[in-house]
Amino acid sequence: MTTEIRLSGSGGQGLLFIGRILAEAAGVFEGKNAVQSTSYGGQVRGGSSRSDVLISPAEEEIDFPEVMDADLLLAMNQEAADEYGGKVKQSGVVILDTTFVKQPPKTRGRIIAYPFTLKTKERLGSALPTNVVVLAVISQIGALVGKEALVRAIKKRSPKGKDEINLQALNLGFELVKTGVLQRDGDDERELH
Amino acid sequence: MSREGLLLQGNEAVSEGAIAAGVRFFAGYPITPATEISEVMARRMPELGGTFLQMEDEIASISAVLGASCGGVKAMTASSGPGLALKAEGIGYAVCAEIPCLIVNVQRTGPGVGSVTPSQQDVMQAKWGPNSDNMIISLSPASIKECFWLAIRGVNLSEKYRVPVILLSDSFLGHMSEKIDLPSPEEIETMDRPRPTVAPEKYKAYDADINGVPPLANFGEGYAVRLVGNMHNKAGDYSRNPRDFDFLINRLHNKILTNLADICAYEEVEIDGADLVIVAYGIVSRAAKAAIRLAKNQGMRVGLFRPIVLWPFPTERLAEIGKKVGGILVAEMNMGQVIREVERTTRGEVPVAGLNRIDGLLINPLDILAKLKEMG
Amino acid sequence: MAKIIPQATILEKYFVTSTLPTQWCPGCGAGGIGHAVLQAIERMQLDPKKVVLVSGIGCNGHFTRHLRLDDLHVLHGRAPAVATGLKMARPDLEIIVIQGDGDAASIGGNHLIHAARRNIGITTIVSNNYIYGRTGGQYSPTTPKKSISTSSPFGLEDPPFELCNLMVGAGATFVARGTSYHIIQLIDLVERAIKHPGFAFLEVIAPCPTSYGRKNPETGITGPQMLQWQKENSVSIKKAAHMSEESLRGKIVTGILLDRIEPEYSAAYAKVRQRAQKGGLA
Repeated sequence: MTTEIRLSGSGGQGLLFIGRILAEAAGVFEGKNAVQSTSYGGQVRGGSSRSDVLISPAEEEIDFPEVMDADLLLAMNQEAADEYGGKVKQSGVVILDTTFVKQPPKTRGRIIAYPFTLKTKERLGSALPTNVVVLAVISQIGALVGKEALVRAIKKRSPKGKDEINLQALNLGFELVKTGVLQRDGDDERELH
Repeated sequence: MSREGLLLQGNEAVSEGAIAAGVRFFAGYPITPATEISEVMARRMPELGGTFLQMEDEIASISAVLGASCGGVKAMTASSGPGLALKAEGIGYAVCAEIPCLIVNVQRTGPGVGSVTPSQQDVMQAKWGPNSDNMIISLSPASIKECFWLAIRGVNLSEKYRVPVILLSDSFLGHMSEKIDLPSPEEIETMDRPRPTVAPEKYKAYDADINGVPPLANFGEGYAVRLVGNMHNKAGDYSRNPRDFDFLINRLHNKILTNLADICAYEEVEIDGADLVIVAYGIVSRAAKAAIRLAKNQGMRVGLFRPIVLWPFPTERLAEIGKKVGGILVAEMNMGQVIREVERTTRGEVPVAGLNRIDGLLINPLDILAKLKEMG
Repeated sequence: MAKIIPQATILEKYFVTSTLPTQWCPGCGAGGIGHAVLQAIERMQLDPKKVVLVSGIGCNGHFTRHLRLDDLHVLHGRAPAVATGLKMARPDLEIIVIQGDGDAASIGGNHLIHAARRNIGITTIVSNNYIYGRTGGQYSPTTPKKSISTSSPFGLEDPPFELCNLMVGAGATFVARGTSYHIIQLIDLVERAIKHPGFAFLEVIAPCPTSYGRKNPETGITGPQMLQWQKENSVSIKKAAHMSEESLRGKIVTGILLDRIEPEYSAAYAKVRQRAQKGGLA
């Protein structure tokens, strides 16, 4: 079974970065198959950004390298939520950053909504590592990859001097899942479809 | 053998493959979506004692590559469609002068300046870009692993046959990341240009029989290597003799066409017993594989024929397949380029349909499935 | 003054005689320039194995096709770019580029100025005969104003490039000019250009009686007349230093116009390799 993960939002939110971290953690450090791809264009200078990650067991090759129906959709802005909300499996999960997504999209998936950017800024003093917080959340919810592999990939790929804050962000993401805060705060939006 | 896998982008994998094949000279000019190859090479070439040059334009890049190759250093350049249009001159020269080199085209969309989104719109440009009759080799990778291995194969073929080799990537593959287990150097076969066997004073740069690849001495070794892009005789003398023209142009073709068994490569998936066969190459072949899975679930018997070497086109095998199946679907991200070869190859013996996409997005497995159903 | 080597010696040592005769017209400047190059190579006792000629399209480029030396006869205008790649890959080689004015200043102008800017250690010799000879006498970027050519039948209004000034502006570290008439000086200039460690540029004012002289008699009609015109209109750089701008108008200033030392590019790039191998910026 291939797990299809779509990370979507705006350029500058670091979605390409966490896509690569996820693919590297799963593919290189946990020996699975992993493909990460990027929708080309805006991500360098703002505009919309999309990063797809597909993960499968080692014995199962990944053929088509883009998400067809997502098991996990992350939407970090309204446009992305609206555009991709419909391309989620029945069993899928939609994770919304309510800092930017004010209207939950039409979707078959279960919605988890949380103001990730706002809370990251509150807790870590900067909104920049929100992407890594979300990465931790997605990895947990989708049971995609273990923490150790994520830590290795973050250490490998973080720019100089940024690995510490990224590891803090990772811990914060794990904490959010563990304490159940996501589910509680997400209750309001759950039944919308 | 224990070694750590790597997560590489297509553009990185192409670079590392070329390096593994022995490339130690890169000249390029910035163009999206090929720039990462330049950026990797700007680091890796000097690290390895090689040379990275950012030249004044695309033409200068291929020119510098040709100069370096004559010096005996394996050399490459990379660009995208508009850049390849400019490099066509140098590629044609390399065909005639028989100078080995690797050219990577990370294809983008549309004529003119176009856009940086992926396409397969330069397949015919690869074959027919330069003036006149050309015989080049062109390879089409479908994965990061293949980006690496076909870069090696490309360098090897260019050396072995003294011919420019064009690696046709695209901007999706170029920026896609996948895990790859890099082999150790002893697992990689590298090839060098055929070396002269005669004394330096007897050496002629184009001395071969009508199907042959002439040995190539490097500059600076005392062989008085006289290389030329004009019509020439075996010594490399400028010629206006029709017999020399005839011999040369035929030989440039024959040296490839008489070695198809060595050069051609393709992948077949579930061809035996298939009612329909998809012909797809590069990134599209992965959508085709997904479509075959989906079709199978619906009781259809569909196979895939994937040329890995696009030029020379694998005519012989495809003709055989064409005789056995009920229809061929050619899926490609252009207005229909390889389909012309498929039609030429199958000579009306089997219905051939095309599925084309030119909007910069990938052909989706569902689109292929729908088309297959239409074909029945 | 250094000695002149007998022509027979040059012929025997360097020529593939089966390729002779050349295709040049009587009175052409290409042979003389080629001869000066070989005189300099022989006089300097360069190892022929290490000399590579890179020649462009046009009458002048054809010279290299007759020689027993490594030679790359390349596409129109590309010789400096090809030579740059070769020099970077093989800094041990002595690379001499032979071009005409159309090749160097027009279709290959971009390559020429960037080779100069990089100060790549090659010698570029441009035969400037003011015309595209091989294609039948069209005007080039160095053709003087008012000239008649097959593509300016009513007289040319394009201002010409002043090639040596262009090279100075582009960053060349050695710039010189000679003429076909002053053959002894020309051999010396070729030698100095080859010895120069960076990018060396040598312009040679050369006659093309067939395509230029016949249509523009004021600079001579036949080869000998054109050489005579060169003789009468040349001023050495030494003399020119004491002449007014007015009196220098229309004159050919010959000699070494610029000679300075800057890091040669292939040698400078060795530092890039060192830094890369040490793993970072120094």
